[in-house]
Order: sequence, then structure tokens, then C-alpha cells
Amino acid sequence: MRISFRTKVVALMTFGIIILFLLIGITFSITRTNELKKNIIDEANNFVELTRTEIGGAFVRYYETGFFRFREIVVRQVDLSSDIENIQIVGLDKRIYFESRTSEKEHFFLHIERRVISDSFIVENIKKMEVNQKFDKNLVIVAPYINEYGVHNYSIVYSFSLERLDKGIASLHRNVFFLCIGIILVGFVISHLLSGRITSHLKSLSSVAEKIAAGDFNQVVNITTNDEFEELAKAFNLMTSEIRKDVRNLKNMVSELRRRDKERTLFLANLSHELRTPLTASLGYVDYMEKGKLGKITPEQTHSLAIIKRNLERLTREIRSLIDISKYSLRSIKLTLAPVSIPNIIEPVLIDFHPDIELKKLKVKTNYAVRSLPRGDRDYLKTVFENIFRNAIKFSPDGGVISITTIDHKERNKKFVCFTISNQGPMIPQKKLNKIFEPFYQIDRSTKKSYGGIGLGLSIARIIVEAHNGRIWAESTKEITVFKYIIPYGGKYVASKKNSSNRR
Amino acid sequence: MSQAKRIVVIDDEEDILDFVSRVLTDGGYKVFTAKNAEDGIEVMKKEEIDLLLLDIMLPKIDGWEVIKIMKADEKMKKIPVAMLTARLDSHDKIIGLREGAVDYICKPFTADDLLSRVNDMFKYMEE
Repeated sequence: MRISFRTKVVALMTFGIIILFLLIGITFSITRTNELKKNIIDEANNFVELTRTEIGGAFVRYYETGFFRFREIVVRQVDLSSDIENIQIVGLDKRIYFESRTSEKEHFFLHIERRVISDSFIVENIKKMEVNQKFDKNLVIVAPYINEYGVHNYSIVYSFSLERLDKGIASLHRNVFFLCIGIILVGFVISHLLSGRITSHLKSLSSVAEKIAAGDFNQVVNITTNDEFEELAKAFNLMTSEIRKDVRNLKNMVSELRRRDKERTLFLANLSHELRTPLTASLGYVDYMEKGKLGKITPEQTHSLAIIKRNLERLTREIRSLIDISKYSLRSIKLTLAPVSIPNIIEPVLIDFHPDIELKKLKVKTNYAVRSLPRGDRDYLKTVFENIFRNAIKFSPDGGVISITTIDHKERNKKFVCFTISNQGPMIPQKKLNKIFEPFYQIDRSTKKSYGGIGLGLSIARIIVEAHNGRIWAESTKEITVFKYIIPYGGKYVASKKNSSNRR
Repeated sequence: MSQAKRIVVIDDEEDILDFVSRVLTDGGYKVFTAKNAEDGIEVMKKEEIDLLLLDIMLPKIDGWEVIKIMKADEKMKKIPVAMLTARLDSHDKIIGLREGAVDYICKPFTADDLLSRVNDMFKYMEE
């Protein structure tokens, strides 16, 4: 169950207020009770001090001489206090000589047959020369009566009702109770309003945060409470403005990159055209001339023309790979998928490279354990093989062996065709085995001089293999360097995302 | 060969025009060259033409436009078109073939490439 922050705050504040006021109420009622009690006791003691001599004297006279005004005196005294309930004259022999009971202002004078007092407190204090009191169900005060000769024969036992105290306490409790209820209600309302303010700030923060999350960065939180919430709002606004700036920068950057991307594509198209056109004319004529179509040429001229031609062809190739790599890294390449005969993509390349193979007296072995691939882009797969094979020739020592095999390969429960091209060239250090597939990478500066090429063949191969959802890697020892790439064997494999639009 | 086939080449590069017309003339064709689309169209309107070799990137009116103009003309729409293109994008190939080009020849090409492709095209058309 989700309890809102506001509910929690309200509950906590209400609880706190209740506890606080309960404490105050209890303290107040204890103080008030004590005050009331002290008040009653003081009044009672005053009453005792005022009356004990007169009552005692009147009693002695009445007892000894039949003084008739004794009753009148007692009544007059009793009327002075509202709390007095009973007055007893007790002899030192613990017998009651006189007792008055007051009930609703009516006084009964009882001449009891000298009943013996049983109350232990009275018995204990009956002979003492000072006033003693006991606070129990009612207030009992035992006061000695000492006659003019200093003789102590009787004590007067006053009994005061505590009804006034009880009533006072009851009304006090009632008042405190209602006060508490009132305070709880007020507290609840106040905490509700307060928490409402707190949570309204939180709500405005969270609604703004939601809008920002939805991409509207022009939101500002307005809280002017001059407290932590205002600080929070300020920090929040600062954050938003920073994000706004960043987003604006990013947007600008993206549109700038898009613009550059467009320019680059256009530039590549133009470059491609501009570079190929002169090459077409030059290469075309050199080739034409070399074949003797423009008149007889001498052996020296044939030799020179062959060199011109070879260099123009190399230039064509490098330009092509340069344009390809830029194009491929700009967007994923588009595959045209069809069944592929593996020897059909490998054999023509071997024929094309025949002069180079002859020149280095290389031995090329092929072993096709797998001869076809149900789906692949013939032209691109040919490019992959061509690039790796050219690389193998480039690094092979004279008279070396290049071995080409295709074999079934299983990985992650999928069927692949694995192409392996090995050569006996120099060992590639372990650390650099991955880097050789990065564009423009040369193992060391010297490779450029001794082997030529601008180092794009392998990265183009990797882009194409990965577009087929395959993988390419190299393994190298002192004796042999092996390039391997795997292409998924048919099934419904997803090539690049843009590929589907290109399937005819 | 009873009569030489007549080919128009439109390309804004004079050297290409020179090379192409040399090779095709040596190959036994009658070649007309044009440095821009307007000149090429004029030639095609005047002469009886059997094949057009068309560069895509031309000043003012490009290769695609030329094909559109030809399609709208009773006489020119019968002339087969082969694109001379520096682009290797399969995209261009698709558009080219859909727009009515018979074939495409990618630059750079050698004399043998050009001649054998043109010969093949005529053979194919006769069949």
C-alpha cells in the first residue's frame, strides 16, 4: 500500500501535537489538583486554629456546667466552613464525648454512650500536643484542646469533606479533556494545511520534473518560502537550465553532424566521379595502347606502359577502398542477398591475382568442405576474400604457401561457414591482432614502405562480414598467420537494419 | 555488317568522349559525341540512333532528366540507354534500370570492357 508523503507528515505532526498537549494537560492538572488540595488544607487548618479554643472551651463549660449556648456556638463555627463534615470531642481515654454530623447544613448533636474511637490515626495522635492531619478519603485533623491552665484533657477531631476537591478535579479533567480534543482537531487542521503547503511544493517540483522528462526543458519551479524548499527549487532550476543548455548544444551538434554527413556523402559522390573520370581516360588509353591498337610499340614501351597501367590500377583500387570505407562507416552497407557459390567468388580472384602469385612463386591450395552459402551478397563477399587474399600475398615470403579452406562452424547454436586463409608471413603480435581491422592501421611504420597500401582492406572486410552478422579475426604464430571469418549459414538472419528496404 | 550501328555518347569529360569514340569507332560503330544533354538530344532528334551511352553527372540537365525527356518523345523513347556511371551504389543501378536504362558501365572501364559490353547489348537487342 502506498502512503503518500502528505499523509505521513499529517500523521506525524498530529501525533506530535497530541503528545505535547497531553503532557501539558497532565502537568496542568497535577498542578491544579495540588493547588486545590493545598487550598482546602489551608482553609481547614485556618478553621481549626480559629475554632478549636472556642469549641473546646464551650464544650468543657457545657460538659461541666451544662452551658446551654454550646450548641449555638458549634453551629456558628460550623457555618464558617463549607467543607466541615464532622466535629468530635475525644477524651484522652479514647472515648467520644461529643459528636456533630453535618449533613446539608443540619447539625445533629449526639450524646453517644462514650463510644471508644477505633481509628488508628486518631488514637495515635489523641495525646499529642500539636495539630496533626491525615489526608485520606477525607481530611482528618486532630487538634488538642488545652485549657487556660495548660491542661490537655480533650482533643477535637475535625473531619473535612473532600467533595469540593473531587468536584474540582473532575471539572479540571473534563476541561483538560475537551481542551485536548479541541487541540487535536486544531492540530490536525494545522498540520494538514502545513503539510499541504509542503507537499504542494513537492507536487509542483514533481510535475515540473515530469515535464522535463517528457522533453520540455523550459520549465521553472516557483517557490518563495525562504526555506529549504526555496533552495531546492533554486537548485532544481539551475539543474534544468544546465540541462537546457546541454540539450540545445546537443541538438545543434546533431544537426551540424547531419549537415556534415550530407556534405560528406555529396563530397564522396563528387570525389568518386572526379577521380574516376580521369582514371578512366588514362587507364583506358594506356591499356588500348599497350595492346597495339594505336600502332606498333617497342618492347621498352610495352614495359613502361605495363608499369603505368599497374600503377593506375593500384590508384584505382586505393581510391575505391577509400571511398568505400567512408561510405560504409557513414551508414550501414546494403546487402543484396542471394545464394552464393563459394568457388565462384574465390576462383575469379585467384585468376585475377595470378601474375602476383607467379611473381612470388607462391603455392595456393584450396579445399572447399562447404561449397555454397544460401544467402549472402556475392559482390561484397568477393571483396572480403579479395582483400584478405591480397593481404596474404602481400605478407607471404617468396615460395610460401597460402591455404584457403571453407568448413562448417558452430557457434551459439548457429550454423556458420568458416573461411580460413593462411599465409607464412611474419608473426603479428598478439596485442595487434584486433587493431589490424581498424581503418588505416599499419602494424608499424615500416610496413607502409615494404608492403604498400593504405591499410583499408581488412577494415572493409570486417565491415562487410559484420553486415552479414558474421565475425572476422586473425590468429598468428611464428610459422603461420591465419585469417578466419564466419558467415551465418542461411536461415533468416538479419543483416543491417536498412537491408530489408533493399531486398527486391 | 551491313551498316554500322550508330551510337550517341553524352559525357561532359572531353577525354572520356575521345576515348570512348576512339574505341567504338575502332570497334566498327558510327559514334556521335555530345558534351551536354542539350547537344545530345539534338543529335538524337536529327539522326537515326541505335544506342545512347549516357553519363549521369552532367551539367544543368543530368542523366535522369535526359531519360525522362527521351521517354516523352515519340522518336527518342525507342532508343536504348546504357548508363556510364562513376557510382557503385546499387541504388543507382536500381534507379537506372527502373527508369529504362538497358545496362550500366562503371567507370573506370577498359577498352575491352566497353567494347564487349556494347557488342553484348546489340546482340541481346537483336535476339
